Amino acid sequence: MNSRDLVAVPLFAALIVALGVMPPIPLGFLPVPITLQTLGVMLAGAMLGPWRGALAPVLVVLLVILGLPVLSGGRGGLGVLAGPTAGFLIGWIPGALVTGLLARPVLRRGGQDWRVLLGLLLACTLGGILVVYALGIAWLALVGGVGLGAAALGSLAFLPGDLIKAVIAAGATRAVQRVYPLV
Amino acid sequence: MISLYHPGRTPLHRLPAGAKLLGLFALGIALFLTRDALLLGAAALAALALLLSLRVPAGLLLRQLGMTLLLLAFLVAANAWLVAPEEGLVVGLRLLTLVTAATAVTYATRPGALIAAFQGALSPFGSRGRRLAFHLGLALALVLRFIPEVLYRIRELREAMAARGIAGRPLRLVVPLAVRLLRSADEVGLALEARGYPAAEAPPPNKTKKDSP
Repeated sequence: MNSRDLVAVPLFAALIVALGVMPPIPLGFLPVPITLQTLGVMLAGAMLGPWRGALAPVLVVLLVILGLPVLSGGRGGLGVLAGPTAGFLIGWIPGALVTGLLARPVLRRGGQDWRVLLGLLLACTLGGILVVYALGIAWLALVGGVGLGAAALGSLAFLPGDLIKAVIAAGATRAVQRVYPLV
Repeated sequence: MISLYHPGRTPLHRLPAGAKLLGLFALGIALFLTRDALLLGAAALAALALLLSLRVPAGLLLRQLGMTLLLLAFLVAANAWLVAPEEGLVVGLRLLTLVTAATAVTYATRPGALIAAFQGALSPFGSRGRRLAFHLGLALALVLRFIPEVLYRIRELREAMAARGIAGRPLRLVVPLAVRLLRSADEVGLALEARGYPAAEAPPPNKTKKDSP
C-alpha cells in the first residue's frame, strides 16, 4: 500500500459518510428521497478497484463501531451492528469488493462506449445491489426470524432507488475514466 | 464529527472498553441460546435500565433507536402473524435486548478507548500488528478530516451548477466530485510522502511530558 492508497481509501470512506449527511439529491420522479451511501460504496469499488474499494466501507464500519454518527440520519454505534439491518451495512464490504472485481476487467478492456457502460452497470448491480441485498436479507431473515421470502419482499422497496444509483455509478465511472486513469 | 459518547461516571462508563465489547459479544450468543420468554424479558428490562441509567437525553435516544424500534415492531408483528405469537415475542425481546445493550455501550465508551482496545488486540502480532494498528489509526483520522472537506466540495459544485442553471443532475455532480477526490488523493499522498509516510515502522508511542526534562 503506497501513500496515495493510504489517502484514496479514507477519501472514499469520507465520501460514503458525506453522501449520508448531505441533503438527498432530488430525483424528480421518485417520491422518497433515497440515501446515497450505497452510491459511494459502488463508486469506491468501481474507481478504486476491489481491494482498496473494499477497505473504504471497512473504515466506515469501524467508525460505526467506534460510535460515530456516520450513517444516514446521524445513526451509528454498536446498536446498528446489533440490529436487524446490520447485514446491509456489513454487505457494503463484499459489495465494493465484487463491484471492483467485475469492473476492473471492463475498464481494462475498454472498447465501445455502450459495452463499457453495460459492463460497469452489471458490476455495480451485482456488487452494489445483489451482494449487499444477499447479506442484508439473509441477516434479517436469520435474526428477525422471518423467512427469506418475507425479508426479501420488505427490501424490494429500496430496489428502484438502488438501480438508479447503479446507473449513476456506472455512468460516472465511465466519464471519470476518460479524464483520469482508473486502473 | 462528534461521537455519540455521552460523558458520565456510571459503572458502565468505568468498565474497560475491551471488557464491554467482549460482554456484548457474549450477550449476543447467550440471547440466541434461550427461548424462554421470561428470561429474555428480564434481560430486556435489565438492558433498558442500563441504557436509561446513562441519562442520555430522550431525544437523542429516539433519533438513534426510532427506526430500529419501528422495524422491531414490524418484525414482531410479522412473526406473530406468519409463525406464532410466542415466536414474535421471543424475536422481539432478543433483538430489543441486544440493540439496547449495544447502544448503551456506545454511549458509555469513548471512541479513543475503543481504538486503544483494537490496537491492543493487534499488539500480539508483533511489528506487523503495530504497523497495521498505526496505519489503521491514521486512516481513521484521515476519514474524519476528509468528511467536512468532501461536504465542502459537494456544496461548492452544487453552487457552481446552480449558478449555471443546471441543478438537479446527479451525474453532473458525481463526475467532477470523483475527479477532484482522486486528484486530491494524489496531492495529499505526495504531501504524506514528503513527510516520510508511509513509515516502514510504526513510530514509537508518544512520550509523556514527565519523560522529558
